[in-house]
Amino acid sequence: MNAIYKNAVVLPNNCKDLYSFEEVLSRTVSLADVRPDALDLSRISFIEPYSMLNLLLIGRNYLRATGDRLALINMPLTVHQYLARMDFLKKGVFTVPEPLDEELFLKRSSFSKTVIEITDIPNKERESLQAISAVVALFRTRANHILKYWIANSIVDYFVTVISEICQNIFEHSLDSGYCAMQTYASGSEHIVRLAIVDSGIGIRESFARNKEIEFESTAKLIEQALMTPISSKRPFGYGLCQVNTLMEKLKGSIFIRSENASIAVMYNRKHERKPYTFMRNDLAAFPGTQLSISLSG
Amino acid sequence: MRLRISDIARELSFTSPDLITRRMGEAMYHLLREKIAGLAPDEVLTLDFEGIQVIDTSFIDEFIVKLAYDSRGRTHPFYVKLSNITDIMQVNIDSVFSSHAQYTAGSFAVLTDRLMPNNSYYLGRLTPNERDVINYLSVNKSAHVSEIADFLSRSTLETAEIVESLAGLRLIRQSGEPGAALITPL
Repeated sequence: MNAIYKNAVVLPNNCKDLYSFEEVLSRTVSLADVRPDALDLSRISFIEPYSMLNLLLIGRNYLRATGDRLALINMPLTVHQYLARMDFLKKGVFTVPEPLDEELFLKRSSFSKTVIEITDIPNKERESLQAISAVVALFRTRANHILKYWIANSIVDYFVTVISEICQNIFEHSLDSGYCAMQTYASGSEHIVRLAIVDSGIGIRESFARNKEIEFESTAKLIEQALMTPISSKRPFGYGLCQVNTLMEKLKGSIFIRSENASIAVMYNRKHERKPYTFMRNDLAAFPGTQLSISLSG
Repeated sequence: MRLRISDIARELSFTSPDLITRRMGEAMYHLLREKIAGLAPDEVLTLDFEGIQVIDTSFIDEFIVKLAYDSRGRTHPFYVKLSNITDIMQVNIDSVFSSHAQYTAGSFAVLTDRLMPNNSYYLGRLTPNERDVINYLSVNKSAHVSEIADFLSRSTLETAEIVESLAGLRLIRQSGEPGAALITPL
């Protein structure tokens, strides 16, 4: 059946972590010019939440640019099951020529407790607040399972703050809608909880363009400034990202923020001489908006 | 006056234990302002957060920060005290207040009903001398400026300025003439 898709882009098996996903982004930034008819997922063996949400943005950007939905073809069963379970396929961004047999759907009762399915974060304030409240409420009901490898009582409250702060940034600053998802999964001997929140809006650099008082050398440096100091693009000062950074430092987690062609990774779980490992890049493939991942590993 | 924040939230149909976002903070602020219209001058308004788990920085900015500024009003001053706040509330409030203090290059704090991680009965940022006065009063309950001056090893004039600053922040009461005033905690 998939023989009709002669112009498919084959995605590499690089959806296992934030850093290798850059390869997928670099191969898909010019999709609207290439006009493929499908994305071939045959090589994908695993998709973590950040990669999944960005794959959704890739499809949405393509749909907006061309008016056409890309087809997802040759999905391995486990990947297909996972994407269906996370409501990825319900977003109306991709077509699936070979739908999953209903008997093969993952049971929500057993798997539900360690995930927060993909939730739309609208760019209108009222609708966005309802969505954020719904995500937070759902997180509270599943938190004991999502965070079962982390024993501090206050960690749930910390994550509620993080979800709230980052999701509010979407309607406050990005001028676009976005997505949020969360999951706990095993990677080797480690358990990872990952919260991913993404949008394809104006990006951090453009958002701060209106605030002439803030000077920066590069987009990555600007993101670092927004993480480490209470600056704001709309108000005299702000707290959102800065507070997320404070909380992640307390939880010894890690933060990854990507915006346009820049990224910063701050790892409080890998400190060196009392300072977290920090990596900045300004040479990534240009991908619109801001994409953020918060992780704890243990 | 003691107000349960969860009751006010319920009046606005906010049933979640998490008070988040600016819009929620704004709505709560306006309803609370109506409720405290009859507050006596210099009365203590205790905000009781029992039943609430999280308040985020946006909510704090729209709700507690505005009330803190209102409490310093010349026409109808009052005092604000926070009660039953959770660990995450402490962290979030402290960050917001510290940012305000940094931005205004001054002190910014609100009193609490129990000892905070900073070993004091307030959240926010004060100068070391201001903090010492708050701590001194939490033990000694009331004192004249001269007694506090001895404790701080400062002149009475300098101490009177520190006390004046704390009174302006609505963190202590002072009665009588500056310099000879009796200082009491809330």
